[in-house]
Amino acid sequence: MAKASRLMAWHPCRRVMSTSLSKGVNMSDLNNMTVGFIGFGNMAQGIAKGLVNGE
Amino acid sequence: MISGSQIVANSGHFEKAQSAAAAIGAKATHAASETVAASDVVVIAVKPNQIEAALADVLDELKTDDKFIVSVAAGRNLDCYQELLGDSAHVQCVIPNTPIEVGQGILVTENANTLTDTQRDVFEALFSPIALIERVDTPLMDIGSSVAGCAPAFTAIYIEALADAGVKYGLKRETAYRLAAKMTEGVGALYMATGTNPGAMKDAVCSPGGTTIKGVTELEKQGFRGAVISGVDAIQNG
Repeated sequence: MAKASRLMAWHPCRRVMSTSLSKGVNMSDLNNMTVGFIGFGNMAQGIAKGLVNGE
Repeated sequence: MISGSQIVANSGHFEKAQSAAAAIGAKATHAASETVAASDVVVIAVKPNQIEAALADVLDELKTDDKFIVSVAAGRNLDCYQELLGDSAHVQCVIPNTPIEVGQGILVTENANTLTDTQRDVFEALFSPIALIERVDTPLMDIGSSVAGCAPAFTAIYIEALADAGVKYGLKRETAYRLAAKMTEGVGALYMATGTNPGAMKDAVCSPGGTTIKGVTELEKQGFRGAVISGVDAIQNG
């Protein structure tokens, strides 16, 4: 069963933290989301490592 | 940016996916449907000729406003996904390159996409910290992929060759690799910071009658510039 929509629910009025990452998106939004990979070869693993460790 | 626990992965080889996922604190799933159900962002990273089979069981689940697709499959653009999924899925096609692993990557990003404004903001928030997001029109995705996605192999050969020369004249192998790699990184960073024309950057190092221009002249004699362009030609025509 799919999760309830979080993307649709995001709105600037719902911001909790002040750290703005991009228009209308902040750290708390990203902390609540899941990134799924269909296919997990070298490139996908590299992207996943970047997302976790890369900045 | 995000924690490993926020990543799930599915592939044809569960044990391999599980091992790779565990290394970053992520989880592997046995079925694509599990991964799609758990995800807000679905990265499609199978080989281009495997996409239809990989997505066969999750087509309906992807036709939703609740999640969006980021495709990293070479040669597949928005039109391909719309043919497969119709108009109700939200799709962004990109071509990544390997330095994204250390937060220094590029995403050649198709201008055409079906993300909502909020999804586009999420895409930027997720990936801009680890990659330059360079948007190009659909017909330019292939050449963008060649320059950004394939050329790391060219650059690695250049670094290796430059280091070989360093070793030839006495540098330790590790020192030579570090010098060549950091120099390459630095020249790129200098361009990104200043926008100085690469020709002017070359000129700035070449003193009149100096040693560097002699090296540049020899590279031109050996066809260095033409060899790089021919390499890209081979990819484009391959």
